[in-house]
Parts: sequence; C-alpha cells; structure tokens
Amino acid sequence: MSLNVKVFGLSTLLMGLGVVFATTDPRLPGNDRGYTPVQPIAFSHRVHAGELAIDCQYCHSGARRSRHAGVPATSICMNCHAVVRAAFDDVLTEKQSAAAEGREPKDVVSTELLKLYTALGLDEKLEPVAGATPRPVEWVRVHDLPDFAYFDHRPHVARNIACETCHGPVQTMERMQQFSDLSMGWCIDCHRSNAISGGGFVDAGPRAADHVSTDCVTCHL
Amino acid sequence: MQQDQLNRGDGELMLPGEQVEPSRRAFLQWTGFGLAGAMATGCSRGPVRAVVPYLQASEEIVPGRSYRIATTCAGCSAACGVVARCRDGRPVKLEGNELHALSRGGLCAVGQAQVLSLYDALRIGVPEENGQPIAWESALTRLSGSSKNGKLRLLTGTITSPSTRSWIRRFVGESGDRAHVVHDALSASAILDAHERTHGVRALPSYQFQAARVIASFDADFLGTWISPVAFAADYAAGRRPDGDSPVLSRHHQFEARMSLTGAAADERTRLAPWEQRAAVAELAAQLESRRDVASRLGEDRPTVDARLGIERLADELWAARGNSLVVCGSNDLTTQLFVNYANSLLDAYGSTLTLAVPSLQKACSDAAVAELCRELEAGEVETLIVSGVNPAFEWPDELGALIRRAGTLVVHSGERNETTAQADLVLPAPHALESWDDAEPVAGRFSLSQPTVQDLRDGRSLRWVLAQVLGEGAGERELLTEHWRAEVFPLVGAAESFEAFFDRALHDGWVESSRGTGTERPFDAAAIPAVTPVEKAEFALVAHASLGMLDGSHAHNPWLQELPDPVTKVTWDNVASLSEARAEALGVEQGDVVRIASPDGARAVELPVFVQRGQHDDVVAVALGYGRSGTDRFKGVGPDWYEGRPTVEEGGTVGSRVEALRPTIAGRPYDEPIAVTISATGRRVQIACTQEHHTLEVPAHLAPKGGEVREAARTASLADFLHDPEHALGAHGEHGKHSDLWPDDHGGALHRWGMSIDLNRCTGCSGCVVACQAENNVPVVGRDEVARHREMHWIRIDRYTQGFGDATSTVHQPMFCQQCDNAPCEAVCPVLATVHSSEGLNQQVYNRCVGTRYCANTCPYKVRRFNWFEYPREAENQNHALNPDVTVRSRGVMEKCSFCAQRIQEAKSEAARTGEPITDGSIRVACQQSCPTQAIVFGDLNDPESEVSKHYRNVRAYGVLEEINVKPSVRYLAKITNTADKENSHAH
Repeated sequence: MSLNVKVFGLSTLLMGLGVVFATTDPRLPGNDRGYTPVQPIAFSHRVHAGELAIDCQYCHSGARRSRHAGVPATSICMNCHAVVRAAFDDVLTEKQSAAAEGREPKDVVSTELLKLYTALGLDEKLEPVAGATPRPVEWVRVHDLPDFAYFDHRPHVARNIACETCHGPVQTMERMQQFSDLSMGWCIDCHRSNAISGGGFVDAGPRAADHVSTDCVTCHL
Repeated sequence: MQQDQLNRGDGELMLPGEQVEPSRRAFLQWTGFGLAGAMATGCSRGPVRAVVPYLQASEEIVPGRSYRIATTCAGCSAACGVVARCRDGRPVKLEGNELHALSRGGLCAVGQAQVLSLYDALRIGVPEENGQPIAWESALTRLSGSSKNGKLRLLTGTITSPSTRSWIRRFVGESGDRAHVVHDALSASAILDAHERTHGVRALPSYQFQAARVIASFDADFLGTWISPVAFAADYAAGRRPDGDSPVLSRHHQFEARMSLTGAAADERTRLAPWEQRAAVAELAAQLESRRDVASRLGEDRPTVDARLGIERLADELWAARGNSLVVCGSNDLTTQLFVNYANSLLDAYGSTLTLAVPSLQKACSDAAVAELCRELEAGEVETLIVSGVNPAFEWPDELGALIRRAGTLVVHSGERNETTAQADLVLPAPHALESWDDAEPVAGRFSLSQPTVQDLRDGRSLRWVLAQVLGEGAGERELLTEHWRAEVFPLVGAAESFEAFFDRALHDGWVESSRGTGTERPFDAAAIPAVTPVEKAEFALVAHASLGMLDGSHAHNPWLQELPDPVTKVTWDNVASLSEARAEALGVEQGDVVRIASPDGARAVELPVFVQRGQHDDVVAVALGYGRSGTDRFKGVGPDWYEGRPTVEEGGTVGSRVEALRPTIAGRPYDEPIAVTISATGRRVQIACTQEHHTLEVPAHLAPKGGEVREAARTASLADFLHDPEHALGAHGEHGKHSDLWPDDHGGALHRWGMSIDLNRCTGCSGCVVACQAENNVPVVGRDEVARHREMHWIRIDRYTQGFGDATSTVHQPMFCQQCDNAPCEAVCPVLATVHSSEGLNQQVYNRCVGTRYCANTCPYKVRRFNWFEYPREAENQNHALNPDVTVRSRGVMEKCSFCAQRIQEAKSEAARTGEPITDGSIRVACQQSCPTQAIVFGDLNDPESEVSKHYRNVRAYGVLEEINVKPSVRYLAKITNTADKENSHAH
C-alpha cells in the first residue's frame, strides 16, 4: 500500500471523526448555562427587578396561570413607559444643563425605549406615525428546552419556589443570562430530594421514597 | 431574486450559463474551512430562537394556556354543539359541548376532523370570476347585476341557520322570479312529504330513541349517518343499560340489504332487499291494523311478504310495547314512508317516541323542488343560478349535473374547490365554520351559535352577508347575526335579562332553548294512506349509501376521514363494491378483484374492487357515496416518499370511484328506488387497504397452547342468559389472582392509579374516538400504501368481531388500544428503558429514549404499538397549526402508543396545584372518552373506590381482554348483552 493511500485513508478517518465529534454534542438544545444573548432592546433586569424591585410576575404573569412564564406584551411595558420615557439621571442631567445654559429643558427619550415605541408604531412624543405598522419586538429566547420536554411553571410557582431558585440572581443581571443548565439531571436532582408538604417543599434527602414525581410522563408527553 | 440569477454571496450576480471550475486547492481550502465551521457551530447549544410577545396583552389569551370557545359543528346538518379548544389564537381540537341538549358532549368522526379542514391550504381565498381573482366589491356588483333580471334560483343544502333563512326569505321575496330550492344528497325528502300528507305539515319529526322499548328500523342507519347520529346514539344507548338502578334494554330490529353500523348494533338483523321494503312495511302496518282492530285501509290483496322476514312476530313485539315502540325508515320512497307513519300512528308512537310538536329542522330538502329546478334548467328558463353549500355537479347524476350550465350565470358560494365551482362564472368563497359567525336551529326552538375561533384565514363571507349586501344592507357579519337574534330569537326565549346579557350567555353556553315549536301533536289523517303497490323487482341492485366519513362527499378532502377505517368494512382510502359471500362466489371473484357495475343499458359504469361482506343481501352490491371527488389527487403525495412506496392516488386520479353516476335521475322518481345494475368481473385485481386483518389478537392454530386456540376477546351474552346466571353467561372463570407472578408486585403506592373501562353494550363502533385521539395526540396520516403494509398509526383501532352468516350475522365492536398492563411485556423487553411503568400505573413511552428495536411491538399481546417507519410529512405547513402543542410530534424510528392522554392528566395536576383543589372523579377526561356519543368509555382513579371506573371494575360484566395471560391490563371491558331470544351462551370470537 502506498504512502499516499495511507495518508489519504488516515486523513479521511480523522476528518470523519472530526465531523462526528463536531456535530454530535452530548448536550441537548437549551442545556446552555451562561448563555447571555444580545437582545434587540437593552432591557435591564437589574434596574427593573433589582433597583425598582418590581415583582417578577408583574411582567411574567403567565408563570402562575400557564405552562410558560411568557415575555410580557408590549402594552405591559407601556403601563410605565407611557410616562417614563428616559432614565431619571438623563432627565436630571438635561434639566441641570438647561438651567445652566438658561434654556427650556429638551424632551429626553431613551434610545432603547424609542425602539419600543417604534414597535407600537409611535414616535418619541407617543403620537402614531402615519403609515407605520406595529410590529412586536422579537426577543431572543434565553431559556429553551428540547421539544420533547414539557416544563410547567404552574406547580412550581404554586408551591412557592422562588424564581431565583432556577433563574438565579436576575435582579443583578444587566443582560439576562441562563443560570441553571436546564438539563434533565438538574431537574431530577431537585425532584428526587424534595417532597411536597403543606403546599411547599421539604428536603426529603437523596433517594427519598415520597419525593416529587420522577415519572417520565411528568415532563415527557 | 430572479430565478435565473444566482447570488454568489459577495454581492456579484452569477449569470446563467456561467460556470465556475473549482480548483483542487480551492476545494481543500473550503473543505477545511467547512470542517472548522462545523466544529465552531457544534459548540453552540442549539438554534437561536425568537420569542415574540403580543403587542397588546389580551385578557383571555395567556400564551401556553388553552381556552375554550363554544360554537356549532358544520360537518353535517345535524348541527351538534361543539367547544373549540384553542391555543394562542387558534383552535387545536374540537370537543362536544356538554351543555348542548342534542349532542350532550358527544362528537362524531366528521365533527372531530373539522379542525383539520380549517387549515386546508387549498380552500378558496378570494372571489373569482371565470377563474380570475377579483375583489369582493366587483363580485358583489356582478352578482347584483345578474340577479336583477330574469329568473333566479338559489340552490342550497338544508340551512339550519335561522338568520340565513330569514335573509333568504327577504332575498327571494324581493322579486317574483326568485325561488329557494333545498337539496340534500342524503335526502330525507320522502319523510317530509309523507308527514305533509298524514299530518298536514311538511316537517321532520324528532325521534326519541331513549323512550323506545322496541325499535324497528328499515334501512335507517341512525347510529351512523342518518339525520343526527350523535344525538340518536346517545338516546339509543340511554335505552340500553342492562345494569344499574333501573336496568332497561330496548329491543332493536334492523331490516336492511347492506351491513350498516346500525345493523351491526341490532339485536335482530334481517336482510331485506330494497324492492321488498315497501311491501314489508305495508305488511307491518296491516298487521298492526288488525291488532288495533281498525278498519283496514291496506286491504287483503297485499303483495306477499317472505315469511323469513318475521313481520308478524315484529308486529307482536311492537304492539306489546305500543306507546313505547318506534318504526323508522331510511327510504326515500314516499309510499313506504306513508306506511311508516301509519305504523307509528297505530302504535301511538307520535307524542312519545317521535314527535312533530318539536320538529327537527336538520333536513329540509325537497326532491320535488329539485326536479322542478332541473326542468327549468333544461328548458333554459333560469337566468341566474346561485349554488351554496352543495355540489350538484358531483351529487346529481351526470345528465342532471350538466344542467347547471344551462343557467345564464352560475354563481357558486363554496369554501372548497369542487366539481361545481369548476364550472362557475362567479365563485364566492365561503368561510370555514370555525372562522365565522353563524347560528343554527337543528330542532325547533333550540338555537345554537357559531363564533370565530381564529382570525380569518381566508377572505370568505357567509351567504347571509352576501345576500344582505345584494339587498343593500351594509352591516358586518356579526351585526347581521346579532340583529337577527335581537329581533327574533331574544323575544322567543323571553329572558328577563338585557339582550346583551342574553347574547353573552348564549355565546358562552353555545346554545339557548326557547318555547318555539312546543305545540301539540297534530292529528293523523288515515285517508292519506294509499293502497299497496308493489315495487318492481330488480334482478340485482345497487345500494348507494352514505359512508360515515365521507357522508355526501363534502369531506373527501380531509385526510383524517379518508384514512379512518370504515367502521363496517375497515377499508381506508377507497370505496368498495360490497358483495355477499354467495354472490362473490357465484361471480367467481374474491376480495380485491375489480368488478364493473353498470346500468342495465351499459351506458354508465363504475369499476370498483370487491369487498366480501358477511350479512349482506345476496342480490345487491353496496357502494359508499362521496368517493371519486375531483381534486382528491392532492393526496398523491400523502405518506412517505421511499423507493418501494406507491402513491395513494395517481396523478389526475381520484380516491375511490363516483357511484353517484349510477343513481337514477331525480326528475319525478325517488332517489332510493332499487337501482338496477349489472355486475361483471374485469379480471383485474387491486390491493384494498383494509385494516380488518391487521394487528389481530388471534394466535395461529398451530402455535396456540392447548385450549387457547380461540381467545375470548369480545364477550357477549343474551339478555335471557345474563338474567338467569350472569357469571355463567359471561364465561367469567374467576381467573383474577389465580396465577402466581414471576414479577414482584411493586407497582402502585402513588396517590392515583389510572384505569379505564369500556362498555361494549354502549359502543356502536362509530369511530369518533379514533379521530378524536388522532387530533389530540398528533397522530400522522400515512397514506394508502402504508396502511396496506399494516403501518397505520392510529392509537385506537376498533376491532370488529363477526359471528354467524346471513341473517344470523352478529357483530361486536371493541375499541382496542394500549391496555397499560401492570405486568407489561413490552417493558420487560425494551433494552433501553424507553418504555417503563409510572408510579400511577401508566405504561410510559419515552420517545427520546427509543432506539426503535420494535421488540415491544412484537411482544405486545394486544398489538397496539405503532412504529414511525418514516417522518410523515404534513400536506402543507398550514396543517401544523392543527397540532396539539401539549404532545410531542414523534420523529422517524420511534415507537408510540396510547398514553391514556398523559398530557391531560398532567394538565389536571398542574391546575390542581395552582387552584389548590384536589383532582375529583370525572375532572380528567381523556380524548376518546370525551368524544364518545354514548359515553361508553370511562376513565378515572382506581385508588378511589367510589370513582365511576372503580364501580365499573366491580360490575359483573367487567373482564380484561386476554386476562388469562396475566399481564394485568388497566382496561376492563363490560361484556355486551344483546336482547335476543333465549339461546345458548354465545361468545363472539
């Protein structure tokens, strides 16, 4: 056998192996701890959930009613942002510089909020823009699960599991980041070591008999 | 980008014909780059997915949460109440409306399949003039213009909508040259005409099968296709309860030429040729005359009736139960129907088992009016013909169908393309019932509402709106409806609340009841009864009957209904020429041989494969209507594309053959007169995709253990034997717990243990559950070829067991699906733990673990596991909207089966956690159970001794199929008790 053929064969094998390893990642879609995608609007959970201490379920109201916590409708944002159109600091700065320059303060509108208004077909004065079609904001999904896994927020919220247990210190996150790896092992660990008692959870120890259901059909439907 | 230009990727356009020769070096460069790229992308975790919230938060719609909208089914003119389960602004499943007085929560296969037809990508979207799309304004201008002058005829099916009827009256009344003609392919015209003569009112009575102790049905398939089968089946089952606090078991005689679903349910079934029917009914009426001791109107010189029919015995039974007995007849022969009315009158049935005081409005057709329309068309008198909701070019015999083109202008209002729209000058798109406002009054005084469940998918408009526009009324769809309800329905109901509150309540409940129609019974006019004239005997006749899935042919474009095995023949994707064994033998044909059925003059003929049907009359061939519809070659691509695959239908072909061509002309003659035909073998042979032999529980005789050659899967007993000694009659051998187990008894211990029971006495085999399960569980359509290879994917199959021959043919239907065995053989053989037991007694199938060894399917004694041989494509992306978002869409190479609707159990548990209320018995209803018109299926918690299913488990009729092999199924069947004359214990096998 000539060297050429040997080299060819070996390189083909390596390439094949490379392709196999490269394309078959042992982790499933959604199992992506630390995933922090750039969002179309630089929304800050630190400001809203941290500084302003808005309840998570004010915006993510689906968590107690539905399988999905949901991303709030644009109209929910407008409950506040019809009035609050810029960061307080920016408004203050403009007021101070206007006073210093002896002029009327200009209308300050955050560039990020302008994207929200544009989505609703409004201009910075919140007047409808002629001919503009409202288009919802396409956020990038952070927490995702494979299609064969059916997570349901309802029983978890009903038993008072804090959102932070799975979603981490959201109140400190400038940009939303995936905190848990959302793998099946991670789910099962929690289900195995907790038992339902009096509407909440108690530590049932590893492998307890009366732990929360670990039946397959709890999640795989 | 234009088609003949390819983008090179660097902004430069590559011209057609230009070729790039890749060098070896470039090739390696790009390969290396590609490999590196593949590695880089392989490190990221799955695709980046967008999440798009609503612009305006909705009060009702919570993403991921189902909500329900009450509406009305438009699958046929029965107008059953349905509730559309919607997700994120679209319906995903239809369920029966439990509040509705007629359907009471049941829904048939056709109703279940309506959600798929909503997402049909081929529905007509915009008005068309001579095939060219036009705007609604131009279409209405054209319609107004042509309807101004000359004779105008409006041809529709039965209109159950009172508001549409009102607009039709206004439209027709505007000019003397207009008339409304009602045509139903499945006509009940003779029943209406007969009541006009005997009771002075052209009306269809309401039948009360629950009140009937003895039922005699002459060719009326009231459990399958006749008038209002869901309501009738519920009533019928209510009269057949052999146990409980007040046991009753009606006695049901069926006389018919073919084997119908209703015949299969009957206690006594007698074969009756179509030409014998009139004389037989007349004989019955005459016998009742003598028992009632009234002056004979039918005379002594009646045609003789074969003693085999046992009419005298039938008359005795009916007479003994007079006041609680009922005669029904599906014939469209006026004389026969007059005798039926006479018999019912002699039995004092009016006012008890059938009533004209609250007439049914589900059939309003008039064959005489259709005949007159045909005459006018033939004479060229009709200037404008508007056709709405019917398909005369298909449903009428050819020479009549051709007449519609004699009208000056043909306007067709239709949601789908059909034989009639193909000839139209102007096509107006009709909306789907699930996207439009409508109402219905199926029985006088019972009004139900339809409301949109989704934003319009097409630009269809209702007939009501079109007529209102032509009459210069500019109101919108909703306004037209509410105005009618405000003016007409609201005063009738006489509610104390405001109209708005009343209308909201009607929208919520789906229907309201008023006092309309509750008049008194009308007197019977015996003078209308004619003397008996014999019907000319045919040597051999065609029985063209409605099939459960296709009905009049309007559902031929629904793949769920095409793939639904016919409940009697179990044939899919075809209509067949059903022949008795004796006739098939005489002809020298076997199942699958193609025969030619021709009119006596040979001018018209249809070629169909033979199906050998037990219990059929020897001198008839039975063929289902509604097949051979144009455009059904759309299904050529249904099912997987692989090298041995054969298309379901050839390009340009049709699914099945159109037997409508052989029907006699309507003019002056009844539809159902014996259609004399000749039959001959063609020598060709085709494969029929019939599921009867698939997945059988039988063991080949040479492999069976001693004494196990015959398995008692479907148990039956006669009422006499059952009352004498139930345990002996049912062959209960006390096997439970007799066996010692190899397996440890380690199941259970959880809060719930799910179980199911099926009452074979209530199951009619109607197959509503099969389609309900298909809709709920995202079961794919596989096409004819795959069905023929035993690869249908339905999670429920309805096993049909037949015993005896000829008149003694008895049938039992047994729904069969995963029995969720405690000692499940499938679990023991799975090498990857893809099927394992849950703590609550479910046999779980984990799709993502399954590697497709199919060991489980081989070892399953019930043969209920289905393997995904392929990725089954949906016809169009649109149809993905009909998928249930709560259930995984399975991919190629995995096994699947009934899950006891685990998603519904989980939903109930999540809701219980949310609300803090415990799960109560009956709060979880699985899809098949919910759809069942007769409530034959009960699901519940076996750990609760007071649950309905636990009570059924303790019923003396309860048994487990194949319980002798000790797999401990979680499904119990309740044996069928037939109200038959005293005879020895008869088990169907």
